[in-house]
Amino acid sequence: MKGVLFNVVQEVVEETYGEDTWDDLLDDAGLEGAYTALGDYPDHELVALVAAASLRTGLGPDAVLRTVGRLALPRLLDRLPPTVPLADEPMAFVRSVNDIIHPEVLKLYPASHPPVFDCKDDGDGLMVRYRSTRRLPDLAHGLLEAVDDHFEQSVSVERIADDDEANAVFLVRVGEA
Amino acid sequence: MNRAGEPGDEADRLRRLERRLQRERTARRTAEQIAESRTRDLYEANRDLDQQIMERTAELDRALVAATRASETKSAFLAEMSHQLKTPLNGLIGMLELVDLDTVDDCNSERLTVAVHSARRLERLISRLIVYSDLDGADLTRSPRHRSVVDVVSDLHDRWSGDCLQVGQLLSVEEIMEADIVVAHPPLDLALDEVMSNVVNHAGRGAVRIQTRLVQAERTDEVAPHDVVLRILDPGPGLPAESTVEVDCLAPGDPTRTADRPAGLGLALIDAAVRALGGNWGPVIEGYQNGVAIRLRAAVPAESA
Repeated sequence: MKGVLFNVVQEVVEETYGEDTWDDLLDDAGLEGAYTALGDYPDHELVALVAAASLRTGLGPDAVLRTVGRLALPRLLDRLPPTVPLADEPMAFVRSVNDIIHPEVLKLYPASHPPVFDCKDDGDGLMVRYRSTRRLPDLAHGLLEAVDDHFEQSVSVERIADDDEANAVFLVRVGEA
Repeated sequence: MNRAGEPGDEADRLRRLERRLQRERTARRTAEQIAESRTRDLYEANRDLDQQIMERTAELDRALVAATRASETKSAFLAEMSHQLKTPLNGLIGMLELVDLDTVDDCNSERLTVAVHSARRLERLISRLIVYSDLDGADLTRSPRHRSVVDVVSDLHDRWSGDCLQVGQLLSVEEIMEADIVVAHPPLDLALDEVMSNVVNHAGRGAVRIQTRLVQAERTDEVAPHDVVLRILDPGPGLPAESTVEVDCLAPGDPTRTADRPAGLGLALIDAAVRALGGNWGPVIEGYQNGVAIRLRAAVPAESA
């Protein structure tokens, strides 16, 4: 997993709960935690951090990952080069993840494996199928939910199917928070 | 559990700070190693790219030399062929005319007239082919002269009004403007003559109108911000509708916005001449009339613009 994601998680934890909490999570997870955005780190380190946060907060790992996703989106977008065109409304933004944002991510981090977000119109909503070998649909759920804050528009995200942890389907609608 | 400010608390704080510092150091070292490795990769990629550019440039240079040589060879060949073809052809025409003078038989005289006429047409065809080969791919924009649009159009009218009348066409000049065009004279006259020749031979009876317009140039040019569009409209069927373009919208010299290169020597000559002048051209339709529009760069903005 790219170090940039660990950096974002660290930022989220430190800004929300303080630097000591990040230290404690690393201790609990038994990790050194010297992450750099340019590096690659084992996926299980994120899983261990989530498990540690879950134990400390009493929230389930799924809720922890959703929260991380929600808080991570603006920070991830901030790290994109300013030349990447970002959509100015929620649905267009979600549609652009696969075709515009992730190709740019691959230019920045050639060895990365960003998840796939296949989009299909569904009435007044958008059916989004998440696929990733990292099996983090809850993180994807949180990232989609963060679109709400990013555009300051009410957006509802409903997880309507799980084929397995590597595949999940979300129904995204604008105006139904 | 220590209370805040107690020695144990301070020791914990120090331990945390030391760990953070260590983490930052490790992260920095890792980042530096990765950055160094990527810089090396980038350096090597740049070096390979330089090498490829040099090789490609050399290839292009060689191709350019070969193309120039081929073009020169083609021109030399055509010039030589022109002489080789024209010399016996002129001999043939001369002898046919002499025989015709001595022929009293009406039937044979008529046959000789047809033979002379055909030979002259062949001679003209060869001459136009030679002109085309000279113009095709030429750039005549580097030594342009100013020429008044009024002169261009008046000369054209003088050259062709008689021929038009003979086939039942009335040639008129409309919407003429006071402006100069940046142009080399003979190729423009040649292009216009080819248009008019086509009109006289194929358009049938009716009105033939010459119009000029001044349009805004698409290029950024404060000295000559306009283009001149010369339009010749006739009552004929015109070129195929699918090839019709609005030439007022074409940018001179922009090959991506030019009508497809036409078939036929006359149209090919117009195309080669206008392109050589840095202009553009295409068929147009206005009302019930078809025609051709040629767009060239204006020398100065006309007062009437």
